[in-house]
Amino acid sequence: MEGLAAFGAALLALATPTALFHVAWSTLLGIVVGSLPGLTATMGVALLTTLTYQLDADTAILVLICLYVGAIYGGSRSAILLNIPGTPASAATALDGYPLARAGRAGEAMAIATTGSALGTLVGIVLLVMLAPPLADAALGFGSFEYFWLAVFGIVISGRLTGGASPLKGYIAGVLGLMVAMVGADGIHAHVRFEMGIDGMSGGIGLIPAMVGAFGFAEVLTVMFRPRAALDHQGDARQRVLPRFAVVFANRVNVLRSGVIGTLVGIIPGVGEDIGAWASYAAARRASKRPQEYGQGSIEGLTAAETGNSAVVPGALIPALTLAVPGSAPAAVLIAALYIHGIRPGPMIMIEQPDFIYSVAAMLVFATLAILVFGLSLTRAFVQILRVPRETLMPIVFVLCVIGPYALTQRTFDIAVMVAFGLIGFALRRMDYPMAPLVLGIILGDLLDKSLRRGLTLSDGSLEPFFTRPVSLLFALLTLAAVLASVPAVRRLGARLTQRLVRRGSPPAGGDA
Amino acid sequence: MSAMGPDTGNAARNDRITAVVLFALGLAMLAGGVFMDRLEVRRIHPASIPGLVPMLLGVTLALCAVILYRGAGAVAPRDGPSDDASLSADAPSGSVPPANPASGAPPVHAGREADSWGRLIGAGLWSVVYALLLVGTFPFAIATAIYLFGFVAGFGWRAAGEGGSRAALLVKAGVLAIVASAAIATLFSEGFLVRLP
Repeated sequence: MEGLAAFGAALLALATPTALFHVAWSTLLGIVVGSLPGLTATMGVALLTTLTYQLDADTAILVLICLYVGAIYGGSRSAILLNIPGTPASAATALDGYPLARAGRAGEAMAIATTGSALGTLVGIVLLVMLAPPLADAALGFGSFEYFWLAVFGIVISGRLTGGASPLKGYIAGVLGLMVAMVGADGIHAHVRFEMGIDGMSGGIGLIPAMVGAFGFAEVLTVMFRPRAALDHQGDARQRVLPRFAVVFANRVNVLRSGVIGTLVGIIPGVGEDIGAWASYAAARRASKRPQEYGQGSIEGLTAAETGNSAVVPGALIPALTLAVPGSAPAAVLIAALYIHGIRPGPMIMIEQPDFIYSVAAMLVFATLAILVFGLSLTRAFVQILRVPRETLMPIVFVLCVIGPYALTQRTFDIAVMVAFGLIGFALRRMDYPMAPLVLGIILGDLLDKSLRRGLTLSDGSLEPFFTRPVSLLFALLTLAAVLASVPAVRRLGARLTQRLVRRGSPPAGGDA
Repeated sequence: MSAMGPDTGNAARNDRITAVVLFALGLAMLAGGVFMDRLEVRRIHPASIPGLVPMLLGVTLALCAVILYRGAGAVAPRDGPSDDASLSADAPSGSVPPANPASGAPPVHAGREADSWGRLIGAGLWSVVYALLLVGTFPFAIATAIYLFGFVAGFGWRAAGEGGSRAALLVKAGVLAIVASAAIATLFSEGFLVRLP
């Protein structure tokens, strides 16, 4: 009840003309960023962070969250019209959205994507308000031992889930991120490590220049490498742009299921919106009475994908706010932005700023309303945005990648960091190394380092508490299970055991043929 | 990433080369941790030496590199939504394979591959020259205007020759360079009070 009152108060506090103005422009900017192939939500949030450091904390967080929500939603535009997801989060959207557009139903597809995104975010907001305070409470009992395993678990699970066919590459990306975090003064004795005689290195590698490089410059290179896409369905957008209530109502279970799945995927450290979309899509397909329509222009599939990816946004903020562990790459930048603006995410947030989680939930509500309004009213305008040629857009993006990180610290060293991470990020992407574990590694490196050494100091060098305290043991077992599950031999053994169990439990062959 | 990804043979070779580089990096990290100052003069607890985690990370990376080398080529190239688009949280947008390959965006064919590499190298080099050489040598607004003009004119040149007018392209590039560089420089120097490089 107390939470509900705080949430209501946060909604009222945000309902001012100034706040609504910020909601409007930042969500609109987010939709534009998301809809343009080559501009991702992470890049947008990272670049905007560099532009908001002079705003007051509440306004800065508001515009960053609105941009995040808008960008994840905006990716559906190009996914539907070009078959190229504006952000990776909309990859599943393209699967059914593009066939709908080809069938002359682009307007309807965009309306469904808008409604799905809005409803998905709302489901996620409800779960955020319900889950974040108790999680923060529980995390208050965490010590160095638990935080060490939480950091290890975050890296391993992120590597496992984003590494695709090769989880090893996900783990390697995570270890590389942790290694980057080792550069600079250590968190316990302030001893400078691996500065290699370069002045700028003694302060460590900044997260923002690294992320702007890995997601901005690398993206510019990727877009320039790719063949040009043709916008050949713009005419279709002139059709119906409002969703039919009957269609929305028929998908109520689908929306709820996808929203819950998306939020839960968001809570898993460093996984992100695209997996939320695919997990929701797969679950909807399994539960569907018409699975054969999936991939051919299924309304259910489109709804599940858009609801799932948008629900990840509030989900990803749950661990970001309560544990300072990001649920997605854009949430990692948001954590950096919170620190820049003097807000310390983590378990103490419910003690130091008890209303902040509710304020974030209220910001998400306003962002959701904004995507609903803009998404349904500006469908035709967004089609024009997709016509901006990449030769015009990409150099401007790169200029912002250069000046953005520089503006934060006024160090030319950060420009070099951005360039280095852009080139390395592009090469790693080409070889199928995911970027999310790398980013998570940079964020969690300090936590892992400090927690291990502090824990060992507390236990006088004994490893026992790392394996005997209940939460530590749980994280250790989860980490071990995640690693073992990525070993092919263990997977084969598991599949064989499952088959045997299923055979034992099923009726004799031909029994119900 | 199937549209622009390397084939299995190339992927295996790339993995082996990467594994060697990663192994060397792991060993370097391990050595860095081992030889790092143990701060005995400050009488810190031996378990809290600054080199501890770098040592562990070095060993882990070297181990991963060995596994990568041994398994190079064993993993099928990623294909389809479940393995590529779905599981690469931050794969570049647009690198996702088309939903329906028969109807989707065109894949990169051999002829286009050379074009793609040309654009990539050109864009990469010009951008690096701008970020590391032009910025700092010239005032920011001028460096930015040079970069924008070069980029827009350079990458639009061939297309303008095929269908449109190259003179119009140069005018467009010039206008964009002046307007965008002035706007960005003013925004940061006047709006955010940043002392531009």
